[in-house]
Amino acid sequence: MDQNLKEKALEKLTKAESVYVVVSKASGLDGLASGLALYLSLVKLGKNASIISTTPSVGDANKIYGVDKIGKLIGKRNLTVVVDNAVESVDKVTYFLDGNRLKVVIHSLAGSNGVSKDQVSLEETVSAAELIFAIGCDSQESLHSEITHEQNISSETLVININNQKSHQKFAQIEVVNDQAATISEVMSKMIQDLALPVDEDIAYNLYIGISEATDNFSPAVASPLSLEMAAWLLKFGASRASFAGMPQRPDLTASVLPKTVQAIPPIGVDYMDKTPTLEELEGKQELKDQSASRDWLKPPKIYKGSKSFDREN
Amino acid sequence: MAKTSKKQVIDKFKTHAGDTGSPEVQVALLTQRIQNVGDHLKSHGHDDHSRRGLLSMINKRRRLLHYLTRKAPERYQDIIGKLGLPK
Repeated sequence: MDQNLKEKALEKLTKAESVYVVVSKASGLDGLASGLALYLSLVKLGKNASIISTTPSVGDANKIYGVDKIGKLIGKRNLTVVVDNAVESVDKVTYFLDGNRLKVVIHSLAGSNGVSKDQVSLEETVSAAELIFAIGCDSQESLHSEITHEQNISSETLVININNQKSHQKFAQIEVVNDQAATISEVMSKMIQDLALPVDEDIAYNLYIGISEATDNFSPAVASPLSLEMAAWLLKFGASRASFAGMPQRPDLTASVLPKTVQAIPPIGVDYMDKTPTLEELEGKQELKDQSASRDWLKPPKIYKGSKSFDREN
Repeated sequence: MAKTSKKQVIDKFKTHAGDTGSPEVQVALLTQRIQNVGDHLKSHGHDDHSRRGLLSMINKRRRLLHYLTRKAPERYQDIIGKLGLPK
């Protein structure tokens, strides 16, 4: 990340009170994982952060932390006065201070019945964000499609675009784009590293899962050098503990000897749809295998005596 | 969730007599609730409030499982094997 851009982003991040993390629908689990990681980091930093994204599927939600925070808008709440049938009854609106009290006067239109209390209601709305992280968005329209008119973008809002593909139009003030990267999560990891944002096990785990899923478990055909570099950095924060708990530290060579029905541990990252055999079933099958092996050991070994055709020639 | 159904789950997954709050029991109860809400959402796709509750339950279950991996990995393996949960 460029030094000037880094300083600009840090300055805005320090001053901003309301931060939005907007994840585009097209970015999938990769974008959502990186968005949640950034959201958790900002919350840890003490910022009023909100994450806006489409609701993930149950399978995806099971893989990452913080999915229950999606859509919760936190921050200053502006009070909006709503007047029904305003066009027919309202002439103008003025306000004045009466000591310490603010009085808002709704002047009724001449010839109308005036404005009654029943027509007036109050709504709480969030204030415009001062800083927006757009994840996986490739255009202004893509960003605006995720944000409703209530969460309006003001002219003072700084937009930071994070993507692993170059966008056709430049809509953000700061572009954190690396088209050499295989995933958005590794770009996010690099940005978090550069900005020295706080990282804990949950944040590292989300980013690790994003990289792992998007590169098909670090497949050589998909993963980039940055993928492995960031994965190694994330592992230092304990990213693997939650995902690989219970797995043998070294590959179990005897596993290939066992029939496939006995192997209960599925490959990493594969959704395990079928019911796994219970521990009792596995132990029962292993006992049978051990017993048959002990009986075979007592029999004399078979000695190879050569083929008949070979003996005839000699 | 029906009381008899909840009691059956607690009896099946409790680790000792009188256990109603261990991580295994909590995970099992949450899994049952998740399945029920998931089935409900298949026919009521626009029930966004229930969907939010579902995500909250999934997140809570994830945290409990993560706690179990750190404290007792063998118990984690046992419970995900019994419930058929992915790792």
